[in-house]
Amino acid sequence: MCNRKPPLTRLALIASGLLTSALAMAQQETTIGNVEWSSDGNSTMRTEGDSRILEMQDNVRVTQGTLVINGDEAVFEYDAATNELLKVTVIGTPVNYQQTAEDAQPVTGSSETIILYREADTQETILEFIGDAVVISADSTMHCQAIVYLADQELIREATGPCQGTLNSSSN
Amino acid sequence: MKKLTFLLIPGLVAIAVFLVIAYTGPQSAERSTTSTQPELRFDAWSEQMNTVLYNENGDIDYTLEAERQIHLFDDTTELVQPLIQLFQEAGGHWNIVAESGRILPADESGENPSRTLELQGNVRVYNTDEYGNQTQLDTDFLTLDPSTKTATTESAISLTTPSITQDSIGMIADLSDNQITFLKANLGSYVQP
Repeated sequence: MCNRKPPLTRLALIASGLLTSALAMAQQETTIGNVEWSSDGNSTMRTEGDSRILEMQDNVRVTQGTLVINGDEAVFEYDAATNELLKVTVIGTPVNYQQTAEDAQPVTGSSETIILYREADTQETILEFIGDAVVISADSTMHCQAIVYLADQELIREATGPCQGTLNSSSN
Repeated sequence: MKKLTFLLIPGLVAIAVFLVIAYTGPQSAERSTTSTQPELRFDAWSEQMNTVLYNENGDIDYTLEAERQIHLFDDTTELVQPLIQLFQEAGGHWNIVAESGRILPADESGENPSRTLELQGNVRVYNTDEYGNQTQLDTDFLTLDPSTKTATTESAISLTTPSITQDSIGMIADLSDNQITFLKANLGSYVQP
């Protein structure tokens, strides 16, 4: 009888952990939806087929929670029927990215183009760094032709070479 | 000496009276004319009148509804609480409301037969698309050219859709194909619907 307690305790801990993770993910989803932006130059809104396009130029800044992207131009693509924001493409020389999660070291990056969107099946916030892509975290520096980065998990999912990288001395 | 004084004093008095009349008389007369007969500035006046304006092809350019329309001698029409419906070739239309406005005289060159409208005070431009979503623009002053279906302003302007809000300075909008260009200082946000 006494041997049954540890597995039950472990199960309760796992359940508690899963609940905490689910709550954390739910919180991320509610904050991920909202985006803010600013730009100094022209901004044009038009309809193209089923999409509503919002373009802007000069000193563009896109913010989504703790994620900040700065570039020269940006294109926001919305579903014209549902009004949902589908994709944000920022172009620059280069485009700079920074994200500072709570209690974590900031992750920075840059490339010629950054595409921000939410993957439909996984609900992950994806950042595609295209052209001279660099992602620098507390643990590593990755320099590739293109990088697909999972912003919520702070993970590189895909890298298109040629690549070169270094592990930072502070990494464990 | 007494004779001279006797003649000089009435003479000076006569000259003084003449000068007073000469300098003040016409102005007083003018003032009295102005106060008794106010100059008419308009030749036509209507209330709650609906106007339909057609283009050269016979298609409806826009309709105009206003609490009051006053046509002035200089060919300007003053509008109180105007509502304009600007029709698109594709079938939709934009609504434009304001506190006041005016239709400017026709272009003397004759190149632009459609008269430009100037609207001011809580100007709102809005339409509803095929999906039932409303796009709304708010500003203090707007110039509208019905012939090109172009709306422009240099004032602060706010865009609102069901999920987007954006504040900018200045705008050129081609309302025939729903293309809106904001000129500078854009600050916007998206809230997930």
